[in-house]
Amino acid sequence: MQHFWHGLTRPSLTAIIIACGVSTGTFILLAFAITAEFMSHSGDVIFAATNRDYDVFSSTRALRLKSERPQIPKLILLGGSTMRATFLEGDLRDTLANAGLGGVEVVKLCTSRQLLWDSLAFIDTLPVGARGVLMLGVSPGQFTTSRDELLQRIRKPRLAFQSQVQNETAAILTIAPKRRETGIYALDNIRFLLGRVRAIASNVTTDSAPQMVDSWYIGRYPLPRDQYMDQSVKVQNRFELYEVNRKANFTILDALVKAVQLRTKLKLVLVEMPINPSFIEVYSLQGLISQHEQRMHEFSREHDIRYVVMEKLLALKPTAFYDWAHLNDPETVRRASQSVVSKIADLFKEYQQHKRSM
Amino acid sequence: MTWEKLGFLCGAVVQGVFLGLGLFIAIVELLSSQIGTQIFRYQGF
Repeated sequence: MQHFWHGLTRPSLTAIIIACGVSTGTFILLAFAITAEFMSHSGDVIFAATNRDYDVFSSTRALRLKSERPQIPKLILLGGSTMRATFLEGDLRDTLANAGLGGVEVVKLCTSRQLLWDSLAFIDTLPVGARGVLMLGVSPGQFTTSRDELLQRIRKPRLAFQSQVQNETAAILTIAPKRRETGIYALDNIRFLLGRVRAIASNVTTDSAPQMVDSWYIGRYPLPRDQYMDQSVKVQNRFELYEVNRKANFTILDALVKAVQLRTKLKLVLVEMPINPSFIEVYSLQGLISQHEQRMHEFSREHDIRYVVMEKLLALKPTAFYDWAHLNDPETVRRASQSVVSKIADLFKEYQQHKRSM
Repeated sequence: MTWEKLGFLCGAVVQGVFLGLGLFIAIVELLSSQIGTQIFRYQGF
């Protein structure tokens, strides 16, 4: 027994070789185990860090969408946190059902501070030939994105998939060369996956993955005055970049529209997000917003797409907002869904005719 | 096969597996901090 123990505890080159083999093998095993398909059904359970980790929740949904059949008509929502706060999935479902569109599936792919650049990436995950309506939430803030911010987004991707359309647009805008892809999901998305190591450890060991909240703002008291002012100054600073950066961002929007029209049968609707009237007044933004809406009207006419301005439909008061742009009043939010559905219901005409003929 | 040789083989496997997993975790932690995308914390604007 003494001899056995002596052999057991003896450091050896064999042990080091086995150690290298085990670590390499584990890498290889995970590289092939974590696939797009795996992410599409388990991504949110394993990788979500918090109940507002919309990068994971929306990526997972998008990958799921990619593998679905395109026959079921969909109402897909893209945009940032204001889009997420303005329309609740439950409200949209109820309103669609009341309008005789109960079979339409609502898929919200909104992420916090979603740039047009990020929205563009999601287009790649839409099933080819998908039908229904795609609502893209827009606001002047999205047209302020600078070249540096885009480069940052390319270097540190927030979404769990690669996008060919985004890749091609990056080359057109000369922001970055086309990325080489290996075709192995885990390697192509390694930065995203590595960034979530702690979340994985927590979710796997505690067996209680975060559940997504549709809108964190609903029912909350408005932001305290000092925090509101602090936040507003930062938003205002961003808005000052509108004129400098709008052209490049309109190019991205143009690429997005073309990609939607080329790949899918979805009708694209641009939805202008509401902004707190008190914020507009304090920073004298009425001129900028009017100009922006004028440009959006022209853009949508040129591309034959619909443009809906939520402020015109809802006539909102400052009390409906949590801060500079996020709605917190459940009744207003419900009204927002009803108003937007009334503006887009006819775009599901094809679906209604198909339903009647069945 | 002697007891010492058997002990040596078992030891190499056990040490190798534990060392290998430790090495794997260390590399992942290092890569995570160096090239991993930080989780986006939204500040409300």
